[in-house]
Amino acid sequence: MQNAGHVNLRNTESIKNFKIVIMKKIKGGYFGRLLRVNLSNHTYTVEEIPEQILIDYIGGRGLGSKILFDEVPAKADALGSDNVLLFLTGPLTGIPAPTTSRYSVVSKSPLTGAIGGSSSGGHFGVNLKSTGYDVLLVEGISENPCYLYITDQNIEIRDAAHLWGKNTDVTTDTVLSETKKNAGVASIGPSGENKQLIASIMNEKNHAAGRGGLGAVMGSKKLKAVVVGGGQKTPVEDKEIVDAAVKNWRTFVGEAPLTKDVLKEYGTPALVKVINHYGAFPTNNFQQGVFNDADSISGETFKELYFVKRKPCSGCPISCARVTATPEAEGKGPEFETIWAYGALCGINDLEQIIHANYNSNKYGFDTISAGNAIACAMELSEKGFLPGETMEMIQKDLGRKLEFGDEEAIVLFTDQMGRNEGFGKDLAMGSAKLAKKFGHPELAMHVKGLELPAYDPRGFHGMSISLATNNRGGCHLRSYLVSTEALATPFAVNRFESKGKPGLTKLYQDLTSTVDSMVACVFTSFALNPDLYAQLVGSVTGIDQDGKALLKTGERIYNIERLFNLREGKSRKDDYLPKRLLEEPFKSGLSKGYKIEFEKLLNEYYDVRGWSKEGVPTSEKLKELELVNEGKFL
Amino acid sequence: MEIEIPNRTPLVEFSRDKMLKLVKGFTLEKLASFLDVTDLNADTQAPKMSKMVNWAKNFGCASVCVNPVEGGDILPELCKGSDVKECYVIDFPLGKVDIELKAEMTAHTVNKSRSIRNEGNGKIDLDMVINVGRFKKDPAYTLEEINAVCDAADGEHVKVIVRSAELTEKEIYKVSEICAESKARFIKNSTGMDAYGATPEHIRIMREVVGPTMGVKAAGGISDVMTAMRLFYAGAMEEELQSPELFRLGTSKPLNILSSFGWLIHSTEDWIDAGIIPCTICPYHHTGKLRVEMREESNAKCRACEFKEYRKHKEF
Repeated sequence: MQNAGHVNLRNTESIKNFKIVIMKKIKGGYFGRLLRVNLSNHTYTVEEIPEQILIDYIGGRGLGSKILFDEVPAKADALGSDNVLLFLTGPLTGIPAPTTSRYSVVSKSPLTGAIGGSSSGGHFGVNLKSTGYDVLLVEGISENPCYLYITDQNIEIRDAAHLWGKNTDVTTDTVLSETKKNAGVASIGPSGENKQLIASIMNEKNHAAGRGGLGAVMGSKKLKAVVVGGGQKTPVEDKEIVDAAVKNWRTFVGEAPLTKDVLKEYGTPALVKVINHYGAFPTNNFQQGVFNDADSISGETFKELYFVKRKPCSGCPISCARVTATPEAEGKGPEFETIWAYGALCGINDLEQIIHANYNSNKYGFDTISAGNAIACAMELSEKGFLPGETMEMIQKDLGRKLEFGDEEAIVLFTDQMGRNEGFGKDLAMGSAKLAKKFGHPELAMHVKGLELPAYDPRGFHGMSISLATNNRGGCHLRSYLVSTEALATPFAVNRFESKGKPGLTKLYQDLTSTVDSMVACVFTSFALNPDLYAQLVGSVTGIDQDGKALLKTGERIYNIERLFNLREGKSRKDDYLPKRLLEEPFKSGLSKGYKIEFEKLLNEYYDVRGWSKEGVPTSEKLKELELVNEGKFL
Repeated sequence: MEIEIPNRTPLVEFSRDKMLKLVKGFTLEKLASFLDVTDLNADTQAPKMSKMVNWAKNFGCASVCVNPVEGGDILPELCKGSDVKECYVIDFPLGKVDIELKAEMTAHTVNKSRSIRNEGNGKIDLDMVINVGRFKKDPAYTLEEINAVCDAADGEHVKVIVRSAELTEKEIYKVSEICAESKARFIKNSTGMDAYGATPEHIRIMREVVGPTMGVKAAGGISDVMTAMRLFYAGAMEEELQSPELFRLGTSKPLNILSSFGWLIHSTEDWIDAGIIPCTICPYHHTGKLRVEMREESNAKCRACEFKEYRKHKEF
């Protein structure tokens, strides 16, 4: 498999005689092997993952958080050689259960300085697992651009000079032609190469491990792509038991209204009208909660005008992903969050231009939520006259007019400029927090911990307020999707304006999602499953017998080690806040009009429920309970 | 004698302690035992019925409820050898055929099932729809209609669908009294195809009127466990009422209910505290879909309601 000009990594042991690490308690789901690749000196090692670590952290996000905590020194430069980049699978990867073809990426985020992580669909995850490694850890910095080609037989570092500067489409096609046609490819585009803080890692061209700028970490290591594919099957001891549990999952996922009908019919854009109806669809940089032109960018319009076909992740019955086309271009997506970020958030009702901006984002490889927020923030800065003369002139020259909400050409122009790292795009690619700070108005950046907020305004979903404020990776909806209950009546409806109970539910969702991200499955399965059903399937694969309660305890441990990472980085209560606008300016119209979030009360109660101090630090009792005493010694 | 209707807020708020006690008293198996797994769509065919029967068997649900025209030949075979009862709707969904024909339909359905299943009596439930229009003019007709169906059912349990979404509050009290007086085993609020489905307020009224010895079945829009628990609260709060003989839930989403129970048992207090927007479970908020006399009644109730601030959310 070795090409001229490429080198096998120097290895410390032979990988020709592949063997699974034998464990005492765990019966399946893991190879027990971590592949550590050092890009500074072109070496690799294959390491055994201690069994107890797998039991305590499951895999994926949980395992990545533990490894990151142990490996990366406090205050390390996220874009320096001390940071590591982890690609992880879980015990369900490679098992034919719905949505389990995913993988996780974990690293310190250059955008937030906090723990960073994302998960992504497609088929990179199953391909990574098929190499016989549960985890790929990349450390060091390569002298020259390179890409990794990993199979179960060989590990190569290959020159990527010919790929540097290329977009993710070209990169993916090229490396596949140079390696194996059906391999999995995770790559960065020019955005990652330029270490832009909102850069994503893209797999299979259009799937993004999007949030927190982990593409920049990959770029900082001069790692253009990771290509994976082997012939190893995820070990399973008792196939009958696993098959029965998988069948059970399929039954529930196949019958729940959201996973059976809504997501299949309209994909995630189905949410546009729902969230707008509630008056909590952030519009014009969170100045309003109702977008009057929501019909123009709705799931129905999307389906009617631009839908080509469904293209599900490997083996997924939900099939939410979509191939789309406009008269000018063809690609995949956009998803709901992207439609919102380039649409309502920027006051734009032209779905075609939103689609083009999305295609740009995928090709250049950056996060659409962050990018849309940055553009919306710039629009408000511009409209309010907060941009300096030279910046206004630069925009005038490139756009031909002043930047204002509703300018659909602006999103296409600026997503292109961001990708090329030129013009005003350079400023936008810093993310909205740094952008607004640069121009003297940090209050106009809608973020938590530096990560831009998603499409659910907490003024309309009071549980989401505490969820968005306290999530470890920043202003993220996916780490505790209370929208599910506050807006979608799943598992059942609650009063979205009620504060009572919401801190406890936030903890429940955060802990459960930690485990779902660790096994590694898609959070959409939580529309159909519950903690006990997750525990049942994971247990059937690993042989570790546990119920939902025990699984949630594992989730709590994962959540707390992430919190410890952030505390060690200097984060504290002050970082668990929403932007002032959301706390002090109730909506003036729509179905969420007039409601104010009782935020301090919610935050205090949340810390209590978590067993944390008033400063948001886990108490010694909590650390003992979660067996995190050693990790918490720095406190 | 004129019915005395209490002047009170509809049942849209629930005591935290009572609800907590109620939820803690349930297991997955107990919850499943109250479910009539239902599909009354026009195109329900054998594969779907087979799926439903499998769910009912696996989880221990009370019955599988289908239209007798589609299910009469299939369901007895599928249920044979199990404790799962067959449930058939009679004169569904409008209840507009005359009494003789209704009785004939019932007898035919019972005989057909018994001959195929061949496991003796007591394996069938019959959910009959009353003629709501006639009831409004002539309540005595309704009693006659119900008893004719019960006689034709030859001892099998009859549930009376009164279509409460078509009735004023006073009429719900009245029809509940008639059911209590009749030979029927259960009163049931809805076809699931009416203007709205089960509300705790209507179930509360029915239970209050029919007393503790007659069954109450809630149906329509029950697709999660919290909705189910509110209906238990309204119609089967006392432990002695928590038996499938005295309370049932008709649902086309049994798996949703059972899966969502797996959420409710974690952080139960928090789920209860998080509550629900009152208007979304109140029978008086569906004004646009109602008959004129009921619309007037609903508006009057809303004007006097302590939760009227939420009324703008009525479209939820």
